[in-house]
Amino acid sequence: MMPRRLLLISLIFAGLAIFRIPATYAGADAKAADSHAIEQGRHLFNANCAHCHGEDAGAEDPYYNLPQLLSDKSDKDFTTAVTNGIPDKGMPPWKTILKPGQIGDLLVYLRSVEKEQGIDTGSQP
Amino acid sequence: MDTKTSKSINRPTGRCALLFALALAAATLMTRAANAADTGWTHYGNDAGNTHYSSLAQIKPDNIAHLHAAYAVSLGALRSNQSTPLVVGDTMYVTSSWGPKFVYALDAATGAIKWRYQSFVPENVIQFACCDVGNRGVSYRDGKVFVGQLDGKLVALDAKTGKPIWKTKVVDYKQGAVISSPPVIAGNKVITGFGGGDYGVRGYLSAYDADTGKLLWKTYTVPGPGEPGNETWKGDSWKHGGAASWVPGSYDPKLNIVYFGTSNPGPWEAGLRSTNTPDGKYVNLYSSSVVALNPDTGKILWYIQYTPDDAWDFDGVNESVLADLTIDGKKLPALMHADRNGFLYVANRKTGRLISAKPFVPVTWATGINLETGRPIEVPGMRPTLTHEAHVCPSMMGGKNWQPMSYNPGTGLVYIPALNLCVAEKEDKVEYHKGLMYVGINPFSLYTGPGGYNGELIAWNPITQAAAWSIHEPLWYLSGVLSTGGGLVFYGTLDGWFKAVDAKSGKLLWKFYTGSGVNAAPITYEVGGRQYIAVVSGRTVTMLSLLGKFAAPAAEKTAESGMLFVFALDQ
Repeated sequence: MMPRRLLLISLIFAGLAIFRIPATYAGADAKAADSHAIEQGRHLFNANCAHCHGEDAGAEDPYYNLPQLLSDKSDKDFTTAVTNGIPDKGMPPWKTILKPGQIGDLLVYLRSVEKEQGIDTGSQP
Repeated sequence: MDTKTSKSINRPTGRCALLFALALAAATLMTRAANAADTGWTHYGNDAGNTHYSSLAQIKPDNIAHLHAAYAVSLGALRSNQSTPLVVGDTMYVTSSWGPKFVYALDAATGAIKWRYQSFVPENVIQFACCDVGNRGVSYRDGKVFVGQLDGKLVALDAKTGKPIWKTKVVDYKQGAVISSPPVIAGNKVITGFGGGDYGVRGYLSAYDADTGKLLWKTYTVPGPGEPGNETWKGDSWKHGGAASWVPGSYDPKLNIVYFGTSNPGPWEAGLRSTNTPDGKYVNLYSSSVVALNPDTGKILWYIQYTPDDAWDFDGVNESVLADLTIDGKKLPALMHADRNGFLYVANRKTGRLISAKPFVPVTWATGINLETGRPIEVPGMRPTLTHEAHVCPSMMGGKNWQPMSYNPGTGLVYIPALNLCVAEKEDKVEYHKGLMYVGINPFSLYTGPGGYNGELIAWNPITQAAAWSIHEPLWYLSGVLSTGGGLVFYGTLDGWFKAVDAKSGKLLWKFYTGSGVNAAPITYEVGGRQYIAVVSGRTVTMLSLLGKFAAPAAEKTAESGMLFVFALDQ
């Protein structure tokens, strides 16, 4: 049986790997990986999310403007919202359609848009 | 302007006074049996033929300077207010957005609320309404008001009290099928379609008994196995074939024919349902078409498919305007239709035979329409594929969207709220998931069409198929149009202005700032000997968000709203 502490650490790393949170990368590899995730995330975003949130997350309306909506939300908040949806707001659950890694790519992409727009993300794991 | 598109633009340019004179000589009066007195506004288009014309003439160019707001009413719901009010007697029936959240009966002279129906449509409908939570109004017959709801239900209300008489489920809205338009009334039949072409629904039209709500017939607009037309779908793609009718239909009581436009086929990614090639055999009937049906049986009598194997989300839903034209000395029972694909069609509405079809906006994807076969003559390279990004005019917003045009039998012109938008688009792989959009285009980027303007009000002669005059507007998504016997044309813009122009020249005569974008169609009516003009203001949110940065300039002009404005001459 795995010691409890080791199990916890393993789970954390497994989670980080699944969600491709940028904090797991370092140096040039991290940049390349981020760049790849951003491009993947952008493609996924425009295929699945742009119908409401605008091409390249460009929706101006506060109801749909993701860079602003996400600015005070944690990465976990984002993952939960995408996974389970927010039905009353018209956001469908994506857990049967997008893989956890893809949701992670979306997050990396959207955080990059926040950064581009100079939004103080307060990005919290 | 994108120079890549300018060389292949194709539109008649004969905007001269001669054409206008010819139009005047050729035009004949529309059949107006359903609204003989013409003081009210008893159908979505005033008459069942969807002309959006009224003969009322108290308000005219030489007194319009004295036109001022008589009253305004909050509709109680924000964003995408698209209602065309009806006026029956001295009562106005108007809806809000979001369901509609409310249906109102108002004193048409004062705006005082007589009753208010609350639908309790759940807010989660927004997931299933692709293009915002709009409602385009109600229909009326014999003491009953009929309203289609975003939750897929059709409801009959007592016109005197607002109490529901019956409520019928038309479709499961959680598949992405919502009712946003009023039904067509044909005798005792209430006929409706629904939206959902972008969610992979299989479209149908259905008729209900006006007194009981009982289903009388149901006709799929995507034929199933064993039915004629099913062979026009690749494999089992018909199951999610779209062809949903989400814009109000038209009715000719004399011919006893109803006409409904149908949406794009599902998905936009044409390779899943066809060969995605010009002149391919999988044309995907009856998508992007008009279907003519017997209202008693639901039988499809004939169809015109405006865009076979539609790869551009052109739809065919735009309204059919029914009027009688005189062409070469012969009277034609005409159907006029300004399609999203950029062509204005004139057909014989009895037989479906095409008479003419010409581009009314810049068109790059086709050079013309073969009048014998109805097939567009496609320009190679204009179909987006998985490996090819196509640059196409018009865009998926269309040369004209759902906002209705108006046909004025006095001038012989149709007044078209046109769009001058183009798109760069490429296909992307997509899978069907119930309740999610089923599109398969990624990326798509809109850009302004040739000339640098995004919207245009065009006065178009349907006989000569040429513009008499036009007004360029900086923003797109103009409102619906009203023309009157007083020689006026009314329309609104996305930056909140409601305008009146001279029907003969297009000269701006009057304007009023409503505070939010105007998308709905204006109406006019007379109560107590006084003519009124009414329009609902309250711009869309979704359509602006969808287009991202391209739409930002429009979004920044006004906020969403939901107001009814009514105008009359000073007393």
